[in-house]
Order: sequence, then C-alpha cells, then structure tokens
Amino acid sequence: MSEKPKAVKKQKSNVGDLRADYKTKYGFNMPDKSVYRTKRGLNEEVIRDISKTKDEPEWMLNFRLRAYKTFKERPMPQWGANLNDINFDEIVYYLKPTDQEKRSWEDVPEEIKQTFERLGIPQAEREFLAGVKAQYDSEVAYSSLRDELEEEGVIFLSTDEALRKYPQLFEEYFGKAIPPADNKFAALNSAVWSGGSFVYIPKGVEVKRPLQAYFRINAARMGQFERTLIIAEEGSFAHYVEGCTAPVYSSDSLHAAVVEVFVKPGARFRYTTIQNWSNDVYNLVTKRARVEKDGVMEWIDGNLGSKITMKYPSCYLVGENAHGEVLSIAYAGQGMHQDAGAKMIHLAPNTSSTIISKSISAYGGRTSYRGLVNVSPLAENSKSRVECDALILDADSASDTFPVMKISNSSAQIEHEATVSKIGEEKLFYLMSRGLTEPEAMSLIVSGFIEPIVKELPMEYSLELNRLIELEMEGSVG
Amino acid sequence: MISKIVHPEENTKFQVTENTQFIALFNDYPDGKECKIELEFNTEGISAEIICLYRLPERKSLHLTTVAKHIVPHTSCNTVVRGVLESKTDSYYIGKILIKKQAQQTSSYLSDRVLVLGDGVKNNSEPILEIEADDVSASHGASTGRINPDEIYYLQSRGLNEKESSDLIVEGFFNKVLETIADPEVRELAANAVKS
Repeated sequence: MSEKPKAVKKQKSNVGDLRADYKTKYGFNMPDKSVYRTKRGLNEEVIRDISKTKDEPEWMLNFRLRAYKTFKERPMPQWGANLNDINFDEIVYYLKPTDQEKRSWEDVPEEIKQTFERLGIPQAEREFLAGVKAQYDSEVAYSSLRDELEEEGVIFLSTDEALRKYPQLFEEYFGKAIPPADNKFAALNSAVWSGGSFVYIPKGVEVKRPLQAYFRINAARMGQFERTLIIAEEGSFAHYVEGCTAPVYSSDSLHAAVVEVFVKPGARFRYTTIQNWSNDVYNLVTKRARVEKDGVMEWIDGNLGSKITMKYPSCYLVGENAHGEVLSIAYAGQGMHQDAGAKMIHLAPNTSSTIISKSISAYGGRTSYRGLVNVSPLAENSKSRVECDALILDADSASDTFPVMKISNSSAQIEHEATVSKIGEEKLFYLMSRGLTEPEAMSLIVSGFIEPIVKELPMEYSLELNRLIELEMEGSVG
Repeated sequence: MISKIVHPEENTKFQVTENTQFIALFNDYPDGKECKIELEFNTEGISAEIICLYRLPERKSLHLTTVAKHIVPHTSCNTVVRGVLESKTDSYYIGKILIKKQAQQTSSYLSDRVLVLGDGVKNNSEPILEIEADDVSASHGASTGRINPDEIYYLQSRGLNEKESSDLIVEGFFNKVLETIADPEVRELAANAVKS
C-alpha cells in the first residue's frame, strides 16, 4: 500500500509536460497577410459583407441571415463542457488570405508553403494523393485534383467554388442534413461559413486513393467556420481525409465546422479527421451523415489538442441494412477537455452500428465519452455495439462516460461496454524488465492502446498520428 | 457479507459501513414509481453489491437509478441489474459510478442486462462513469436483446415446448445472479419475486 502512491509519483515526474515541445515543433505563426478581413464581432452587416465579397446568390444570403437569427435566439448549451468563456464579439468571422485560389504549387505564396512544409507534407507524397486541398485560414489556398478523377466526374472543390460552379446540386443538399436550427453552433456556421470541401462522387465510381484536405487557422482570434458537403452517389466509394494542426497563439479561437454527408444506396464513405488544435481553440463541430439502403458510413475521428472539443459525429441510418461506424481517439492534456463521442440513429430495419472510442487523459486533462444509440420502433432487427476504453495517466486527470441507449424496438440487440483504468504496473514492470525505460514502456503501451484505430488510417496519417502521440509522450523522457 | 432487502424510494441513500449486498426487488412496486438507490463509500476497505432484479409485467414501467459513490480509498462495488421485459413495457435505468479524487484503489463495476420477451418494448439505459482518480479500475457493460433463437431450438429438440424453453432460459438468466446472494432466505425471497 505504501509503495503504490510512490510509484504513481515517480511515473508522474518522468512524464513531464507532454506538450512542452509543442511550441517548437508545431507552434509557429506566419505573419498575417490577409487581403480582406471583417471587423471583430458579428452582426447583419458582417454577414452581408461576407456574402457580397464571395459574390453569392441571393438565396445564400437569405439562408445566412435566417441562420444568424436562429443563432441569436438559441441559448448556449448548458450541458457538457463549459463554453461560457467564449466571447462572440471578439472573433473575426471572415478573412481571405490570398486573392484567389492557386492551381499549381509554384503559385502558392512562400509563407503558406513554409507552413505546409513545417506541417510535413512532403512534395513526393503528393504524387500518392488523389488531390490535395489545403485550407489556409478561411479560403482554399492551394488545390489540385488529379485528371483521372476529373474524368470520372468526381468533384472535389472548396465549398465556395462549388456554390459558383454547381449551384443546383449545391442547393439540393446544402443544409439538408444539418439545418441551421439544429444547434447554436450549426446556426453560427450557417450564418458565417466559409471554405471547407465539396465532394461529389458519381454513381458507381470508386476513388481508390484518399481525398485530402489540410485545415489550418493562422490569425489570432480568427474563427474558422468551414462547411463541408459530401455526396456519395449510389454504389460509389471514397475516403476523405482532413488533418488540422493549428499554430499556437494566445487568445481563444473558435472553430465551429459543419460537415454533411449523404451516402446513397449501396455507397460507402469514410471520413477521417486528425485534429491537433493548439490548446486555446474551442472546437465545436457538428458532423452528420444520412445513410440510405445498404450504405456504409465510417467516421474516424482523432482529437488531440484544443481547449474544449465537443464533437459527436452521427449517422442517421434511414435505409434498410445501412451501417454506421465511428472510431474515435481523444487525448486530453493540461487544461483540455475532450468531450467527444458518437450518435447512431437507427430508423430502418436491419441497420447496424459500431462505436469504438479510446481516450487518454493526462496532466489534469479530462476526457468524456458522450454517446447516443437510438433505435426507433421501425428499426426491426437492428444491432449496435459500443466500446469505450479510457486510460488515465496521472492522479490529476479525469475521465467520464455518458452513454445513452434509447431502444424502442423489441428485436434490437444492443451492447455497450466501457472501462476506465490506468497503465497496468505489471505491464510497465514487464517491459522495463526487457530493457525499456519507464517512459518508453508507457509510450509503447499507449501506442498499443490506440492501435485498433491507428491501423485504420491511411499510411501517411497513421505516421502523422504516431508522430503526434510520440511528441505528446516525448516530454516524458525529459 | 450480509444480504439486505431494500425498498428503494425516490431517494434512498445508504452509507456503507460493512460488507453488504443490497438487494432490490420490484414485484410489488406501483407502476412508474421513481426509485433511486445510492451507496456512499465513506469507510476504507469496504465492499458492497447492488443487486436489482425485476420482471416487468405487460404495460408496466420502471424508473430506476443506482449510484455507487466512492469517496475514500480502497472500496469496491459491484452493481448488477437483471431485467425481463414483457410486451409494451417501458424501462428507464440510469446506473452511475462516481469515483472521487481521494478514492484511489477503488474497483467498481456495473452490469445491466435486459432480456426482451414481448413486443412494443421501450428500453432506455444510461450507464455513467465519472472518474477523477487514476489508480482505479472501473467498467460497465449494458446489453439488451431477445432470447437467442438457437437456445430455444436446442431446448425444443430436447422435448420442451416453446413456452417451457423460454421459461427455463429466463430462470437461468436470473439464477446466475441469485446464486451470488449469500443469505439463503433472501435468495428464496428474490427467486420468488422474479418467477413468472
């Protein structure tokens, strides 16, 4: 008994500040050279300004204004993490870094290139990628799409561009999965959205290589409100990947994205996010997929960094045999609260869903799993399995699990399991007896803990995630 | 370990001072009554169990909350909930495990299993973990489902009819928990409460 607390203490001193290296490795902030930015704060004028600058059709302006009204009316959510410190008047809602989108790499401004270089997107790697859309601040700064995809009819554009080029397709789906009235932050996004990706996969087309987008926030106090709209037509397949590595700056920044995915009959779509926001960012994202008959939707969600994350990717399984899946990793360090989870709404017979969540908390961080499995009376023979595992690395950290299961059909088969534990001393002891130092052993155990999710990532992303986790754990050596 | 029958009210609280099994039965409960059993662990080295067994007859509803609140180090708790739902029943269950910062070396588990026999059933389950200490082991599991048709088929091939087969399976479902009740008299009482 008297030995145990000692062991805990020792382990703590070895781990050090996991994010101590963040500034040198990822903490950079390129000089802000925005061409256009709105004033701080939000009012109707700002929204008209944004819409005018983007030269949008009338319906979009009206949509934004209606959403702004909803945003003002809706109260702040009083559950989950504490959001009361967000000051909506201190945020710049729109800024445009370069005059126009650049097609070729050579045209991309030098600072932006440097930023990407530090993010570690090697030139050679681009050859492997189907298309790279890199979002630097609010607008897509660099974009390339391989010719073969264009030939197959795949559309991969910034959301703004798509509104200009494909207005009909756009209007048909925009805001249909997540209406502005859904929640306060979806309303805010609907009012001031800018950037994001638009993906359209035509019927039967299989995109073998992942479509990638890099998201960044650069200017301090800049809210990022990207809007992503994805339509996977019948029998198609694609994998969309986004990663975020925001630079460090002192004032609180707000990221409120909306992602809508439409999975048509027999289609399969996979959406992968790796996020490493700096720890002053509020990350409040609404992600939702509508999955039709025989469709499959997979969300893979990695949340590292940010001050508060509240994100619950959801699947509305509206067609027979539809399947939804969420794999989620969360890491909460000092001053962070990762409130992440998933929602599965079973609305048709024979639908199935799986949620696997792994979370790690350290240095006073808090991870919360918040999830919902809802089986409607119509969803005969549906199945759902939920698995949440949490690791707590020291005595200052905490972890919660808040799953809700609402089952209104007698034939449903639902399973939920959750565990919370620390790193087993036997495991540490065994690895150390094999010659590893304590931090190495811990790092290895943590890698093993998240392995089931990391192995689902495309190669370069699993490398990046491993790099990030290593960086988090690296402080442990010093 | 002593076994103790409890009659949970809207807010029933117990300070756990000796190793105890708290057994809640719901056979004579008014329909839809809110009940809550909270165990508070303020004495080191104590372990306890919460056992809730119910068989909800047609058109009835149950609102149940259990809380295992660990405040001091070295305590353990096992919460076991087993329910059978007949047609048109509603069940609402919230099962909390709270481990406070000081409560190191706690182990606390919760298992909630519901067997659905009838149609038109609503089953809501919220197992919650709030863990603020690190040297602990806590987990929960919840599952809902019908009787596996393979099991019924097997028993029918052994000469039982469908009703007998499902009764036998339900009996076995409760028996696993009944066997863990230390006091034979209490066990008997509990077994009678969940008979069809």
